[in-house]
Amino acid sequence: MNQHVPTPNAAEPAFEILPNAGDVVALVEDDSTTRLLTRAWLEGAGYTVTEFDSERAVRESTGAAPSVACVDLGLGEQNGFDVIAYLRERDPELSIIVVTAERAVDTAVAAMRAGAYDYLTKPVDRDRLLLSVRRACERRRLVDRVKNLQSELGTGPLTGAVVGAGAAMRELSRQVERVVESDVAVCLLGESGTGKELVARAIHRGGPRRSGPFVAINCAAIPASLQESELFGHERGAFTGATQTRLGCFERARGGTLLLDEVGEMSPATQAVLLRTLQERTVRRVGGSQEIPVDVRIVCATHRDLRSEVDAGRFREDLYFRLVVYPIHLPPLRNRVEDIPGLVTHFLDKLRARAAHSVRGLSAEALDALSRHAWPGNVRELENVIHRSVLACRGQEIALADLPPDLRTTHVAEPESENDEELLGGEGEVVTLRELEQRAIRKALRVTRGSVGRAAKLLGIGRATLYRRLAELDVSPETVGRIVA
Amino acid sequence: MSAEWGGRGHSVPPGVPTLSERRLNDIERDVSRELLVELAALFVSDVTVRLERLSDAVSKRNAQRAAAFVHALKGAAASLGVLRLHALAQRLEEHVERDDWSATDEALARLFSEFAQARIMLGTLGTDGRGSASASTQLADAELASGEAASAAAAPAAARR
Repeated sequence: MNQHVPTPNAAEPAFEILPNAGDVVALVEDDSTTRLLTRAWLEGAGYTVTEFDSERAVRESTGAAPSVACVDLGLGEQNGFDVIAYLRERDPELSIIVVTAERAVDTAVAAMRAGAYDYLTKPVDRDRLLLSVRRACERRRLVDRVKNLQSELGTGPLTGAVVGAGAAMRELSRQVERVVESDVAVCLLGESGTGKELVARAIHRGGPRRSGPFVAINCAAIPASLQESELFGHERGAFTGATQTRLGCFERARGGTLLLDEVGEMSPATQAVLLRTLQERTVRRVGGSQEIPVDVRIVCATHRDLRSEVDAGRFREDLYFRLVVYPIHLPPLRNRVEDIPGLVTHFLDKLRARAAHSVRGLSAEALDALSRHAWPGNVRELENVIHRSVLACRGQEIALADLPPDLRTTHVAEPESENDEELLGGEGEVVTLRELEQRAIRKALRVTRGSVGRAAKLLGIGRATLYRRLAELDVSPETVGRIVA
Repeated sequence: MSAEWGGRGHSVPPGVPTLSERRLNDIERDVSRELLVELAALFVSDVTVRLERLSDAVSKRNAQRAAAFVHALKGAAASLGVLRLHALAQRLEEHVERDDWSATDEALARLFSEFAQARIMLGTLGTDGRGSASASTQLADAELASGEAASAAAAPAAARR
């Protein structure tokens, strides 16, 4: 198609010659003449245009997500307002420019109320259209930028996850540095509360996909029956309640990073679909037939020992090798107690930013108590403890008395290396798997000071399972107290 | 305002040209001559179909479908600058909204004849003979003003009923 070349004498708008590469404009117009003309104008200005001649075509679209949509209100016998509602449900930040032959004021008001960004009447003036589209694209970029910044601020600064100069954190930083620039599949391994999502965000922000979205899904929080729909999306009518087509995490993370948190909790059926997706680099929405290309960096995280899950037949080995190309172990807080003072300072600063407080630090006794705690909930637990202590503190220094009661009594965190030795038996000693299980359970109960829920979490099993195991060991809740003592 | 325009409102003022010279020139300048010709051909083929469907809806007194078809036709005419067709479509849309089927039938007949004129003039856009849009629009105005526009070649479906 020939494109209009601005002449020096022509009073052309400045945006005519500005490249708009990358901005996709969805054009919803049932009249082919208007569609062809509008498309020519938009493409001449550098936009990528996707055309739709009906509401149905919009609903069936699988192409790139647009920055702006130009929607004709009079789509034959269909209603353009339905298209607007659908587009806004799919992407609430989409800028929609309404184009119509209807000049009535009430129609314009209704369009704006429906969420239209601008309202143009036919015959549309080319410069007016391009100006509106340019502004809508600029608005979209600003919204995306603000969202990214809010996302970064909302989850805490990156340094919050890597506070500390201890050897464990220095090693973690080195490992992260090695993988940020590549697309290698990283698996973050660590207990709950060690900051797996923060490290995943750090990998995203440090790499070439930083301008793309970061999407996280916690597989443990999604029922097995909904995992496929959440990950890969679904088509309208795919199942009862699927009233609209919905993009899955893969499509929403296009061009960015997808964190599959607690990937060890993924159902076998979803594992199979995920494997195919990773192999083919395409997704097929539930109920759909089209293969949709996706370009996404995958980072997964789990508190489980995935290798053991594979051995136990609960996790596909082929998927394991796809996901765990570069494992990164996040150290538990009890193994890096030297970082506690720095983390406390960081959390005090963070709390001060939220609500003024006069606490400046910790007393020696309080710090000592924190350093000797087992921290089964890791950094997340420490943050919670500091928050509670600040509320209790009446001076400028958190005293031992300001700490939660369970931290005031001495509980010594046991060095992991010694426990490993104890668990596995001495040199030359071979313990039975049943004995090993018993020792692991007793250790977990010691570390968590008898908390069955937290012990179960540390062991990677459900609370009910731990109760069953305790019953098999003939250990009553009272006995649990004795174990701790 | 002429009696014809102010009467039952089936037609448009004679001062309104068939094609908008300014719109056509703008499209040619902003995009290309080739695209303008392509648009004209697309418009003709599209409106031919739409008129048939509109005629069918009107004959069945289906106001919803008739309104939808004439609205789309109006939008297409506005986009390409087919002024008289656009004005007539606007009139017809109003008649349909008022359920005035007698006026709708008459307006539809005029719409067919108006389209026949527009079709001829749009056809000249692709020929070397088209020096500018103004010649075509002036011709159209003269024809319509002399009442010769109601071309027998464009016998509307309404008339066939």
